[in-house]
Amino acid sequence: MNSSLLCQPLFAQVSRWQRLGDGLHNGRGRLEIAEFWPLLIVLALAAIAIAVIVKVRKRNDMTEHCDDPEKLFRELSQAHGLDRQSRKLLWKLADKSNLAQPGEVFLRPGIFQAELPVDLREQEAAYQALQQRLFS
Amino acid sequence: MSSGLSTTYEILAASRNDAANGALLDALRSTDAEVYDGALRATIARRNKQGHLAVLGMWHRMSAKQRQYLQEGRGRMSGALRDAVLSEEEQLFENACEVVEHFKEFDLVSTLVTLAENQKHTHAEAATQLVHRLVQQLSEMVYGPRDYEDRRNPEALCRFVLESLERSVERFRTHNRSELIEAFVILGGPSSNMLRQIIDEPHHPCYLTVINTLTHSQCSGVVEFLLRSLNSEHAAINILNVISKRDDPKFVQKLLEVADDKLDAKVAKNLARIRTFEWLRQGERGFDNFEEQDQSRCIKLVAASGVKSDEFLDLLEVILRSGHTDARWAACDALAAIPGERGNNMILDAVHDADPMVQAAATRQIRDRHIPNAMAILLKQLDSPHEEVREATCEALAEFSFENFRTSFEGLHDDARRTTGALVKKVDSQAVPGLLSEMEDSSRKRRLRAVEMAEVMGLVPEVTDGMLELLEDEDHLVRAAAADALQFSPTSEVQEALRHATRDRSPAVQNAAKNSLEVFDEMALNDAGPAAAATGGQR
Repeated sequence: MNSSLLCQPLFAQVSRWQRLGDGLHNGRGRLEIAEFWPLLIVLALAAIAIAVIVKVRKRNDMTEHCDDPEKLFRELSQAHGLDRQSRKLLWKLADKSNLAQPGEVFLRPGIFQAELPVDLREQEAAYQALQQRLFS
Repeated sequence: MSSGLSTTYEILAASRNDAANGALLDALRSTDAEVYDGALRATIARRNKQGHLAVLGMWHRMSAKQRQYLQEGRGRMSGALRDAVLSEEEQLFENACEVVEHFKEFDLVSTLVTLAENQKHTHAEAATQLVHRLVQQLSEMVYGPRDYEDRRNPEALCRFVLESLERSVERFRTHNRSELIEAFVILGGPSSNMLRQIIDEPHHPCYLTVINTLTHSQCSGVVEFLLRSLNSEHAAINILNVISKRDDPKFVQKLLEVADDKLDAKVAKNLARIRTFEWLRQGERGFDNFEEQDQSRCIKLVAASGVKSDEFLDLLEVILRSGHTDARWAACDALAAIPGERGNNMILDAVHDADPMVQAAATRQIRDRHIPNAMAILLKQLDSPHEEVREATCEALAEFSFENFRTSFEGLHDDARRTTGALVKKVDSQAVPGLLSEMEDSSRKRRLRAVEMAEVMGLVPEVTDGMLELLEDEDHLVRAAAADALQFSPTSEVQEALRHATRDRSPAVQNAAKNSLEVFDEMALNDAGPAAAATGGQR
């Protein structure tokens, strides 16, 4: 008696089952690639976003072993709490002073004053402030 | 250091970015002292061999404070130090050697030994010398007082270094570096089986070097090895020869300390096999230049050794003649075990020593050595102004006791009684109590003898109380003897007692008392006064 009671609702939906798999049937015809474009674009954007996130995280992950002078510069700037403007000034100073790597600017108090490149003299005051911050 | 620069160096020291190495190397070229010091500390703190090598290359220019930074971070620098030791660059090698020695980097001994064994290498000689110095330092750490600031375990370091040196000993035929064998001997010490094996094998290629090192090395390890050998069941004869040949102060001092305590049976047995000591000869390193305490010790040590008695007597003679006071005293004591005329003469000389303790030590032996005319010397010594000498003389004349005198008194004739009695009076402090005790004896014979003994010994004034009691004795003979003897104690109390005795029931007692009172009267007439009375007892 129990089996007959269970079978009744299932048999009641048999019309839906008959439609199952219709889209895959050879007889329905080929799928167009255009139908997948939106999906592909979404996937590509997601991949780019992930790659960007990974790269940014890697760029700022100072615990990872590497040999990257620019990253060292960022690490030092970060440690000293320098803003974008100050970093830019320091980077420019390192560049004009022909230092082997930008991070060396944090170890050379002399280049902020007497050895300050001529074309940076206009911002001498800003450099003096930076020197005060980094070396005194 | 400024807080800004300090932050920079904190980052550079801890950064996982290898670019920091380049930045620091650049900063190490800075002429700014603050920048340089910070770079130095940060470079040492990083695990970067290139940076460490650069630091080692600057060692010779560093101040004491900067060198201290290396001390703090030397654990991280062992790899660079090894590379620097093996470097062909002269300055770097020299610096590395200095650092290794300065910080006692014993881990590098195996590297240095390998370098030293390579005779073609330009740094082989320097490496050999460094191994030698390091081993000496380690030996002092192991056998000397422990420095608890250095947390390293000296025994573990010693085992590690010794392994390298033992392998080098095995390769001796190839490298022929005797200094490495010396280093092995210095460190090997008592625990090295290989060292013992070489000592027992005179044909071993390293034998001569080993013996030479044992004979000349001042290192604590070698000294300890030799002294511990003395404590072994049967020390090798080669070792005993080395001990007898060494006269360097450091070793001799330690050897003499062996004589401080009672000699162990094993030590005594091994010492007895030593026939001579180099320091027995007089001279700069001879016993005559030893400190006072060491001269005394050396007497004890030589006495226990197998040194011939003539040689020993030479030593004692010199010490008794010109040694320190304690040593002269010890020499006298040591002479007790050496009979013979030479020893007797030395004792007779010592009796007249300036020091009373030496005189006393010599006096004690005079009778036992059967020295002619001993009694005359002792009688003279009995009147010495020094108490120690008088006590020693009494010890030497111990048979002249009151007890012996009492038992033999009956057999002695009058003269012998007087001379012996006078001697007993001086020698035995128990004579007076003994006489008083005899006077109280129940035997009449003994009481009478006591009175007689007191007379011949001249002790009547000292035993007057006992005599006065005997005046009341039940026996009239005893009373009479006491009344007679009391003439030698002319005090008012005695006079009163004698006057009372003149009324005794016994005529013999009355007569004796009267005679004694007459003697008093004569004395009063001749020389009235207490001085005369005092001498009366001595007659």
